[in-house]
Amino acid sequence: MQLPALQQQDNPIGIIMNLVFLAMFFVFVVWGQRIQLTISLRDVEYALSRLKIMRDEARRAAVENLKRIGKSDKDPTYYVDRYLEYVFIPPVTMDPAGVVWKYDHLIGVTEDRVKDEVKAIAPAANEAQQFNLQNLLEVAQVLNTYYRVIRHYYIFGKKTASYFMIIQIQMLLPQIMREAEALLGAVHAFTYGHPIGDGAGALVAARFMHGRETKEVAKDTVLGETDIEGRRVLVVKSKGPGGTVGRPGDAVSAIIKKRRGISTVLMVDAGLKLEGEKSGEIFEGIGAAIGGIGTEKFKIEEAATKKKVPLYGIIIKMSTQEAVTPITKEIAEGIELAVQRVKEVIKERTKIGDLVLLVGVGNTMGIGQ
Amino acid sequence: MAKQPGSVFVSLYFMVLGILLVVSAGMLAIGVRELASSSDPSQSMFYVLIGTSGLAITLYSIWQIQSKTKGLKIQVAKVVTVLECGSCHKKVTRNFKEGDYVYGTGEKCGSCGSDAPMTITDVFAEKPPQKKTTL
Ligand SMILES: [Zn+2]
Repeated sequence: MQLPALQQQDNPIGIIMNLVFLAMFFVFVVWGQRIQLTISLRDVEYALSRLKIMRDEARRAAVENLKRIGKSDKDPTYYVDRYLEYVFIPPVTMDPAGVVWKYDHLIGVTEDRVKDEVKAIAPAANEAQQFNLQNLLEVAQVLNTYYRVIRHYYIFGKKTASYFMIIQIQMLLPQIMREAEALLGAVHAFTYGHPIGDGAGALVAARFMHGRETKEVAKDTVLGETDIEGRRVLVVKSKGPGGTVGRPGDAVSAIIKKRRGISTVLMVDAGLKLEGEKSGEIFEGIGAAIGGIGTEKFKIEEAATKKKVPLYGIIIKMSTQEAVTPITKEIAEGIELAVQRVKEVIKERTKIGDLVLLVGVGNTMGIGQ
Repeated sequence: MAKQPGSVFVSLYFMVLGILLVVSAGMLAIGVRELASSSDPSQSMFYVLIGTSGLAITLYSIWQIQSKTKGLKIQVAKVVTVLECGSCHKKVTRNFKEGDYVYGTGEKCGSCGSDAPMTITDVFAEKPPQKKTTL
């Protein structure tokens, strides 16, 4: 390309322009990647500062609510700070046989410990509020983990001036920031105990369970019995209205073991939608519709496989954000659709007089039974 | 975040932006002046071009920084509770109160005078999040 200014060699401005272009060429050849690195680092730095604000806000909310609801004379700040740094040390998986039970045990220990500590630090909170406070602490902890990990890669990338280290973390940032923002949105819901999108499955179960006698079949998990279209339906959900997911895996295996002749297990859960899909849409499938670390899913699959019981899943689609913030109108409509769909599936897939197990999976905060 | 390790870079960045702004504005001025008088329009056009794009880049960068530092916004939805009376089946929608939960009990029905409290059948966010609070 022949730039007009470059031809004006007699013009002093032309000479300067020439020099500037030449200098810029060298700068980009020699320091091009360095400049790219600086730009990428700025992006990560910005995300990091936002993560710090989010972490601090979640921490502040946890402390404030422990004080407000717990009414303890002790200051919970120290406890919250210690909790933020708690780590879950996963079991070794080199010999994977039986690792599910190790996970299960460790998760149980963690839950009990946090529960006891919340009880001690917030004596005035009722059971539901204790669960919600636990959830709030968990949100702050996850945000703190995000912050610490991003900070690690930021500082490490900066120290080593490793472009590839930084672009890798930069690539993951949109996803991480979206999740972090969703979690920050959850703080408000956990503070007041609003039912959240993730509780869609639990709410479907509650629709069938309401007004029936319930009993606890597993830790924080209740069972109720009802009749739908001439079929006996055993309904399982986590015990509300505190924010817990219960132990649906333990409940299902206990029920399958105890009650003979269960013809179908039907699970309802909230699922993440893909971009472009509508919130509140219903998806159906075969298999155990349940998320989480996998221990509960494993137990359900084990129990169902042993007795050769078919597993059907109904999934209510939503975004990450919607899963942890109060149920929206679209999801509420999806829940009513799912209730209808459960009735239809039971009619289509089972015979009159059959015994059906319906499991509503999800965080039951703000949803009783 | 005043004592950031990257603050040297940030001030350098702003300095470069400032220089770019002044140079671009100067180029644009020269270009416009020469366009009116000079017999060689291609050179003055070149100055105008450089000047305008320089200005555009600078203003865009400033706008980007400005929008980034505007602060974090969280969206707080308005949550409502729907209650249904057990005897007259009238539905009442009101703002969510702490302690409300689906299939919990609310206050007494106002229209039929039944003594039993109403049952909460739904709790949901009424509108898509719209109220924004800045942290
Ligand atoms: Zn009434």
